[in-house]
Amino acid sequence: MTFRVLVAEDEEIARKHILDTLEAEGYEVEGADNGLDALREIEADEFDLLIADIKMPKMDGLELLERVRQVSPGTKVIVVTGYGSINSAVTAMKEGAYDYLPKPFDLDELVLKINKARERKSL
Amino acid sequence: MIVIADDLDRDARNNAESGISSSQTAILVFVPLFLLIGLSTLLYISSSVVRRLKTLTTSVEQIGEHFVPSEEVMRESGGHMDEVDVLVEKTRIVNNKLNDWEQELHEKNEELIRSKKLAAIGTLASGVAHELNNPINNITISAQVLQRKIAGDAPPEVTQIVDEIIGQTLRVKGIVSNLLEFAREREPQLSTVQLPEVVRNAYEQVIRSTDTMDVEFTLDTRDEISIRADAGQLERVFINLFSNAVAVMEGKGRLTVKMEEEDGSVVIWVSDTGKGLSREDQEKIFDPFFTRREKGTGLGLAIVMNIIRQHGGGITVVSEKGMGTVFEIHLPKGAD
Ligand SMILES: Nc1ncnc2c1ncn2[C@@H]1O[C@H](COP(=O)(O)OP(=O)(O)OP(=O)(O)O)[C@@H](O)[C@H]1O
Ligand SMILES: [Mg+2]
Repeated sequence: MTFRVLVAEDEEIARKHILDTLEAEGYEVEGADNGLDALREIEADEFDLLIADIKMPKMDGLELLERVRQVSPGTKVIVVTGYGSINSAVTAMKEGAYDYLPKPFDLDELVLKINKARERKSL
Repeated sequence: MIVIADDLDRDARNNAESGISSSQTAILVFVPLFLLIGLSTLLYISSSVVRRLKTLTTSVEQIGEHFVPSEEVMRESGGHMDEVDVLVEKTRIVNNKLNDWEQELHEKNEELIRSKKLAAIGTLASGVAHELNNPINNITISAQVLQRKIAGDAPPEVTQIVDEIIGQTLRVKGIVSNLLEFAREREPQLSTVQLPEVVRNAYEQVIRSTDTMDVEFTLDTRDEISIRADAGQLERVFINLFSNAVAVMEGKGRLTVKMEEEDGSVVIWVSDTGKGLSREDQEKIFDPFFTRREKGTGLGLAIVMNIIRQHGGGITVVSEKGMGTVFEIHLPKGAD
């Protein structure tokens, strides 16, 4: 069963590496470098999971989360926060995020979280 | 010849006598006159001086009365004072008070400058820290990808270098999160917390990240002491104090926490058997960026101070070089 992941992250290096790593783990992946493009992708296509950076141009992660909850409630959202943004992580969880990850994160940890989300889906 | 001389002589004497009598008249008239003028001038001057002195006296009296009523000065002196003594005494008291005030003003001013400086450092620190978030994340992720790619088939020194890169990014992460912790003037999120529990949790966290094999930790307290506080922030306070103590004792010694309830507040003592602090250092340890440790950022105690102050409490240090160190913390218990 395919599991489609969209990575919304404006930092190119981080985005590229996350995409490569997830692809190597057998996921089907797409990338977006701002919140608005990510929303368009989700409106146009189906995704099981969205990884959204909190700080992004055009539309930030929290707003993106809110919109995705409306247009595609089936898409799980993992929010990536900076340091000292425990507050925004809490807000994200209240707004219905599936999980959050503080920067700088461990790739293994990210993969682990996504694997869990996939297992849940296949149950 | 002689007759002529006699005549001349008489003339001269007559002349002289009339001169003398006219100058006598002059003396009789002018001396009293001058005396009169002199005296009245003197009287005029002195009365004006006295009048001004009186004005001065009244204003000093008014100022003095404001600080210390005459009766009080009189009472304290046992009544052996005339008005001038009272005035002098009052001037002395006023003078002392002004000196005290000047001192106080100076201290307040220093405090204001300190807190403004701290606020400025805070803004800067938080700006820098936020900007560092993404580059550090990029470096960490890149290094992790590299680590995955070479896993198993790279020469050991390459693997080691990559591990070092990752280790160092973790170190930067620690510094940045300290900076943000320090910069963040977050209002404490109050709830009812059990102090002994917070202390135990904090020490467990320290054990996890540091070698504490030879540290004897004692918590001397009643089982339950609860206060209204931000649990996370309080835990941060004790983690910072404990990790300092463990570092200073080089992992070997006694770390003791004692706490007592006084009405409305709690006093906590954190003491270690480390090498202590010089008088000079004691004044500086709460300043941001003051450190004597090679890998310290000097923010640990600055964060502690911020948190305690935000809880309406205070922290002081007592130490002697070579005799260990005691931190004393006062915290209000807060409404329940
Ligand atoms: N218990 C102690 N005994 C003796 N010296 C101490 C003790 N605690 C702190 N100090 C001194 O005060 C300095 C400042 O401490 P602080 O915790 O603010 O910063 P740090 O430990 O150097 O760095 P950081 O905590 O940011 O990693 C320390 O470097 C140390 O010299
Ligand atoms: Mg420290």
